[in-house]
Amino acid sequence: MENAHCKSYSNAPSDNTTQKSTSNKVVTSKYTFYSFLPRNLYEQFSRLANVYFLLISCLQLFTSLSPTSKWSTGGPFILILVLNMIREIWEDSKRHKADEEVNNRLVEVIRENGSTESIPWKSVTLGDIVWVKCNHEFPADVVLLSSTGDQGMCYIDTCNLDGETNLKIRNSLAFTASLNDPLKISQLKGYFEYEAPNNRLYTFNGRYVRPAAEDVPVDNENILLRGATLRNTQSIFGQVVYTGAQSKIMMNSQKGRVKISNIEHTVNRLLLGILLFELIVVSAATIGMASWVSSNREAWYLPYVKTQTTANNFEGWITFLLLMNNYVPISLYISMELAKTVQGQQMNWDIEMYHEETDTPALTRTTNLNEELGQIQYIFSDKTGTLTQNVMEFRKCFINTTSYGFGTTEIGIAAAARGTNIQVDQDPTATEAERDKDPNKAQFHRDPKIAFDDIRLLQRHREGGSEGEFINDFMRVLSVCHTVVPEGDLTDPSKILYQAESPDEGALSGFAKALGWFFCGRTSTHTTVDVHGKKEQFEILNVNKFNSARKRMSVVCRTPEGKIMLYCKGADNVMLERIAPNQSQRAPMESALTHYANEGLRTLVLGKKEIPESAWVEWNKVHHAASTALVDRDGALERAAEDIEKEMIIVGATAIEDKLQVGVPDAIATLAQGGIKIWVLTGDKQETAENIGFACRLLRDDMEINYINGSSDDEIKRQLDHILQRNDSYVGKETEHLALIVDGKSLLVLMEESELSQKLLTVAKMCKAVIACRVSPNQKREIVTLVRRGVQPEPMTLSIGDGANDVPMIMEAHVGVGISGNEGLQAVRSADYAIAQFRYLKRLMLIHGRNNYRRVAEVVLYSFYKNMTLVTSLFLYNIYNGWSGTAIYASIILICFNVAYTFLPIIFYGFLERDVNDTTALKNPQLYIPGQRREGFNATVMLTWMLNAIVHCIFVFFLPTAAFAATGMVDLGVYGTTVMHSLVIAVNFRLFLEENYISWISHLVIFVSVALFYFVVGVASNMPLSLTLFDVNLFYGVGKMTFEEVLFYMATLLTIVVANSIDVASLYIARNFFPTPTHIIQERERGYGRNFYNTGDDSGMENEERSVILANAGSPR
Amino acid sequence: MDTAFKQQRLRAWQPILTPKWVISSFFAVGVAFIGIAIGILGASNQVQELSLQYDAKCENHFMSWNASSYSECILNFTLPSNDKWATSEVYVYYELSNFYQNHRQAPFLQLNPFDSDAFGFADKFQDPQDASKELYMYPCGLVNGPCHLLQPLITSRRPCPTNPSGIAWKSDVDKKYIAPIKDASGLPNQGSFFCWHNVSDEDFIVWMRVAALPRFKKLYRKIPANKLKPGATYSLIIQNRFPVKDFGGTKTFVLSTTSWIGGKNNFLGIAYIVVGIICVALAIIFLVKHLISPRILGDPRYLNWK
Repeated sequence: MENAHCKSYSNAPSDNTTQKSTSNKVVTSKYTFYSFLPRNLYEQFSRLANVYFLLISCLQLFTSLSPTSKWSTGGPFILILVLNMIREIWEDSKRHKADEEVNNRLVEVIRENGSTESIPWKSVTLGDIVWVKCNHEFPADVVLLSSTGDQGMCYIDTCNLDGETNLKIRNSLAFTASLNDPLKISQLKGYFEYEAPNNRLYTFNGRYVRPAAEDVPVDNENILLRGATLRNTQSIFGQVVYTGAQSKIMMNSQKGRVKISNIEHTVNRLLLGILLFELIVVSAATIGMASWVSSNREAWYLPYVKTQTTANNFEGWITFLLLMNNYVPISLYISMELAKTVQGQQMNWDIEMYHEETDTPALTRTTNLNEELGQIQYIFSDKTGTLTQNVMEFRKCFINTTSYGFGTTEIGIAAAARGTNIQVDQDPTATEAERDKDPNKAQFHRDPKIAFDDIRLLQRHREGGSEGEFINDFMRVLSVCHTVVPEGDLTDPSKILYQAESPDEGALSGFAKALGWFFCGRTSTHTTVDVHGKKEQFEILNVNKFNSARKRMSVVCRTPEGKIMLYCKGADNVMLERIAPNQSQRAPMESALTHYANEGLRTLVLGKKEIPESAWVEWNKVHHAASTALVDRDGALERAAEDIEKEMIIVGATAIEDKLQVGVPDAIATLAQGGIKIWVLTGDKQETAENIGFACRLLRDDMEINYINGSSDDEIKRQLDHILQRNDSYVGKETEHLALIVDGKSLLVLMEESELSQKLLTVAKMCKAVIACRVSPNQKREIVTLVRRGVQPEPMTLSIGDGANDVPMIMEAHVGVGISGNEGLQAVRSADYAIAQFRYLKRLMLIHGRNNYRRVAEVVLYSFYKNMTLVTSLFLYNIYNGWSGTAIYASIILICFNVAYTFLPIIFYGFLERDVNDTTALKNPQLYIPGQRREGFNATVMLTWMLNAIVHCIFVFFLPTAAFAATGMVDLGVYGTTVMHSLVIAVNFRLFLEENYISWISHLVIFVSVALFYFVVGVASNMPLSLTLFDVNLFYGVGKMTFEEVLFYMATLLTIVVANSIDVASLYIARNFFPTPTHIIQERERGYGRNFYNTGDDSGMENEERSVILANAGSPR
Repeated sequence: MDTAFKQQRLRAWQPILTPKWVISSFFAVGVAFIGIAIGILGASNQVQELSLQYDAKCENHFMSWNASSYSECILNFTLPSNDKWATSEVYVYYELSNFYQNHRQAPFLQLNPFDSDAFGFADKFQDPQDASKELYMYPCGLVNGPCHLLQPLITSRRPCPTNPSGIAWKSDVDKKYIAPIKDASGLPNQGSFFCWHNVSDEDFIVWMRVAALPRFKKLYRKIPANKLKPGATYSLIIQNRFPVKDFGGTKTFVLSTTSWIGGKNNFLGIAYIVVGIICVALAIIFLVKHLISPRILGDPRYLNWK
């Protein structure tokens, strides 16, 4: 055993203190009182822009080079830092409260003398023996020593840990199971030796070392994790093995990588670009200064000019830098953050994304990626639980040579309609009488949730004979070979509840119960089945657990007849490899399996094997050794299981239906119309996957479906080349009529060779739909990576899934979406957004994503625009002040630009703007395409806005200047205030022109912003003269004189009309002469253009419906 | 949960730039602007203005720093024969050009009557008459130079008040420039200094309002109505104390009446009329385009996503 292990001594606190362990106090909050300031500042200053503003503030404060007030950057900067801190405190205070509550919960611990003591959770230490009562959570990770339950067993629920709501069984260590009172337990001597803390929730490797006896293995069956709750058991004693931060739940909550949105990356680059631009402008101004000085040496009233030296030029450079530091928009990040915070709330609030049955609203786990939701080009979707409900219903089974169960699924009906050889009513061999289809006769304990209505099964069992034997074996496997925990009244089949780890297991044992093989009890060694009223006891000898690599589980048990049997169930491909050769049932079963798959049913194959006593004894040694191994225990157990799970006899096959979720076909069809490629990645067989594809309208009849399922390089290459040859005219384009189905086995080969994987991408890019079947979790991730790396330019990807097996792909994609469904919380925990149903994805992307993309892009563009306009006017004024850096605006008027007159409207725009209504966005999915093409935010758009800023600034600056110059009466205060007035109205009106959804709130914030300008001017010019903060005193009296000046109004009116007319004219020309489809749909939504296609037959149609038709008519085929 | 705000269902105005809207707005704005322009031009034309540039005639090459040393010159001019000169109040301005009062390094900008440093001795410069001497200016550095030294006086029949009053901002006179200033005895005893002590003098206060552009007028006096006679000849006696030729500036003396838009302002009227005409022209262009080849709103032929 390596060094990386821990020890936990029983009833020996002094020994435990020598062990490395952490306090059991758990801190999930980000800050403490003392760490808040340094940590928050550190985080804020890891943003380059903030470092820049800090530098500028310091230069302004500690030198006399600033042309504006010493606080003109520092003031707003501190305000913005404080705003961010308030936001953080608000978020962290919730976590503090929760921590406080948890750390002070009480738990009883047993002291060495056998007394008990109640202590808060935070004081629990390594090696403590805790006494936990029913319905209480475990304060740390503990090993179960004994319980009041049967044979030291206890039930737990791990809902808080992994979201699984089913009860699970944990067993006491055999030798401690009898120590069930404090006094006895305090006598225990020895220690646990086990692996170092880790984040694996489902494994534990360790042993108990006893002073004078054999070591006892300890594994996951004995572990009670912090976060889990004790259920159905009065109390337990357990010894603490991991505390606090070392506990598995805490080890698991470490954050994954922080995803940063594409726009934010671009913004960071843009900031560098604008900084460069600023430095160029600053340098140009410095050159202007130097040349002005050299040609105005004779200005005797400027002593400075006479003595100006080269060194002064550097000072001048700093002066200009301080003057024009606001090219970098100081309020950009805070505007983006505030807008995105509300956007996140809007998604959480959306009642249309609220699932009433499960009481689950959408959950925004990060707001970083809100706008990415509006740019997705590829969706990678899991199938089970994501496209389907993950509610399993037993439909059919195959026993001996007969397939039992009538009817077919929606998928089967769809497949039959396409002309495949599916018989809707299966098994024509059944006689008319046998097709009675009465579930009351077909089932022994009628379960209304099970529709199974084939009466032949029970009939033939009663008839006995070899068929009866087969049926009995089949039901035995179903009722014994599982890990289900029964809960409730164990004597009444209608009141019992099966707690299963997977919905499939629940469905199988539920079916067995309905047919009269009533699994009614489990102890640590025995399973009891009530077969039509007669109790049968199976001694469970070994369990070989299920995992996603093995795809099977088996149980070794001693039957009531005394034989040792292996019962096994698993995926058909792994099972068929492990059955004994030459069985006559094999061929008919395989054809039944294909049939089931065509109907979209999930299939399992059941097998059995009798093991001679001596062989079992031999094997059990191997198994025992494996189960006590401290190194690679799982591998050893797998190898042991492999030894025995072979040469099995076929017992039968099951077919379970997992129904499609409501609205999935519609959502997929709509998203596909929006130009989004949807890849379904599933563990199912090719046939199942294909039929699911048809059922959810991912595949259509008019599509040519291509398969890649070879297992060798050459074969795959041939298949790929074949597809390429046949469709060479489509290479590089996407076509509606091609679809691709790739097999996991082929993917293994494909991923190895870059040439092949590139070819696969070429093919996949042509295809409208791609399905990958039989893929493992890691392959799912690799597929996402392949698309991200292989397609140029890198497309935006989204992964959606519900289970732990989807976590890798959720983490890998740009945006991860979790379905908060039946398979626990693992996917949700690692996702960026969580929704309850797949169909909400439509709304999440087409409405919220699309809007958020437009909004965030606009917030960024407008923030740069308004500062560009502002600062360029500061630059231009140097023409008239001898390139000396004098600010055109009084400091107080300038400072408030970003934090008062233009602060709110863009933030509100950032969550209120909407160019088309929700229904229109849903009915015209093509509206999503501009986002994918990044039409809202790219170099052209940015440059257009910058040009807009320069044009605005030229008019805003020169028109009032000329108006004042014409009279010659130009007081700097009045003049600067007038220019600022024009600027404030022009930029606010510019935003108003961008708004498509103007509610009273939008009116109000623009009104308030402009009013703030008058307010600031009025207040600042009446402050006491002794107040020098922000140089307010220099502004004294200016307000009154400005408001009395006719030119103030006349110049502003002229300026804003000129500046904003340019906007109106160019927006109008763009719409009228070069309309985009978005323009047209917007117009149609507002009721224009209805008379097109008004040919009578669609006259009764709703306006929106018609626009769908039109949009489809225009979309490329 | 289900509120209009949270569900983004607020009632809202969702305007579109339709031809009707845009064309009529441009037309309306254009017509309004032409109307305003006519008003402005009318008012501006009513304003009588007389500018007399005198720096060439009264050239001097030195600066004088005390009250008695200056060169004097007399400028004769005839008032045009327009009744306005008699019927309205006439404003007297002095105008400087190429003079950067707004230069950041000029002392004007940071001045604060309560800030003794700014009022103090920051500005030290060589006496132009004696290079070995350094002068300290008080109370506000160099600012006083041009202000104090520029003393144009209209002498003939003395229609112009000698005392400056009512020419500065009321807030400046009432609040800003009444501050007690440091006693002259507290001045540093180094070099000689020039003291402009009368801070509350309105000429000084007017000068202290920094001009935003290098060519600027400052109000000097107001002549009440009925004091001037149109067509009469007046003499302007100028105490000439500082040169402008060195830095390429000019000195001008301006008499002007006013109207509701202030002084004469030809730019504003022309700008309004030009903008008005452009707006009407745009309205016509858009209208013609709309009539000849209309782009009908909601035309599905443009629904091409390629």
